[in-house]
Amino acid sequence: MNAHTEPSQFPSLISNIELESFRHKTDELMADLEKNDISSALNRINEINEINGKSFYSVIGKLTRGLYDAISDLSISSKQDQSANDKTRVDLNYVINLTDNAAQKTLDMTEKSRSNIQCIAQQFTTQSDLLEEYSSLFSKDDAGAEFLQKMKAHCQEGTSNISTLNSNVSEIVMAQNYQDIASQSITKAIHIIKEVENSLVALTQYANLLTKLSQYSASSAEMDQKESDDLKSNIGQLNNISTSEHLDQGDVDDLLSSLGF
Amino acid sequence: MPADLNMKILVVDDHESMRRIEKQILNDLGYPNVDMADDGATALPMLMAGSYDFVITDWNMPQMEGIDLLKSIRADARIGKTPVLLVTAESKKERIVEAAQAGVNDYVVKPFNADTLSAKISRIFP
Repeated sequence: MNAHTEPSQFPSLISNIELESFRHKTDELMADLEKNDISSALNRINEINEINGKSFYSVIGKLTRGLYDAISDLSISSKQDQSANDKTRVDLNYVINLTDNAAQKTLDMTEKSRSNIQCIAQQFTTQSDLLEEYSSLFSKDDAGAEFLQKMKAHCQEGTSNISTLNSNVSEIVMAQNYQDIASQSITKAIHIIKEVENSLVALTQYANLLTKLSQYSASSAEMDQKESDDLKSNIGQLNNISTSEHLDQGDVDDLLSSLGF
Repeated sequence: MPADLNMKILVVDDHESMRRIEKQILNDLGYPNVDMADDGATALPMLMAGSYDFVITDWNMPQMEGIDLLKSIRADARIGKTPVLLVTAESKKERIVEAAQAGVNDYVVKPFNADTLSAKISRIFP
């Protein structure tokens, strides 16, 4: 593996400015240590810790946003009406509806089939009865007896086939059993993913707020009016979101973007 | 008392396909008198109004869960002795214990087959 490719994963999460600042402070620390200037070295360590803290929250925020976007790409929606574009994406509710409709159609057909099977079974029973009646009413020569025997065997075979057919229909019905289990599992998965999604939004907001706070606390200078207003705005946004249970996808995306993720 | 093939059975499940499956299986087993309800809250007044001999219910339902339907049945002197079979995907030990303590007659875990249902009915109506 190329030695330069492995560490390149980090600059995508940590900004170049932060990385450069970190390197600069590290060089200064090394210089202080070489000069045996412990007091200055301790100050450098504190400065490195501050950079580290800011980077940590920033990385958490970016990773969270990445996870959130990945979940959003699944296009999991509770809405029944989907646009043409949405239908091209994975939609678990669509899968539930599709499989449920298929199960319903299958059950429609099995119900009709059972009705048909009963009719055919009844016809064979009637045929058997008629044969019995015929054999009791008329004297039979050898040829007639042989014919009656063939007809009875035919009826018995038909009855046996109907029994097999009925059993097969039962198996088809039982196979639909899994649709219910599958839809329950998918519904649980949708619920869990939505919970994770909401948690990620909250985590992103929290990480962003901590990043902002660490930026302010890292500076020994007092906040100017704009910084103060920005901070209040960020906290206000966090409070607003915390009180609303469900956001529209667009609102969430707008908010995340406004928070810098 | 062995199961009377003409007994009145109420199947309770919020999934229509599941209700239909259970009804077809029961019909196939020789029980023609099967009614259906989509929830415990729907089932309870049906039980009060009609003289049902047997209840087969799901656990997870939106308005009234199967366990609450079972408790309501057991709490009412008029229908309290009606045999109840829980047919559910819930197979956690604590759930089964809870159902047993609430007075369930038997418990079938989904997915199930016709033989299992038939065996349970034979056990409830020996």
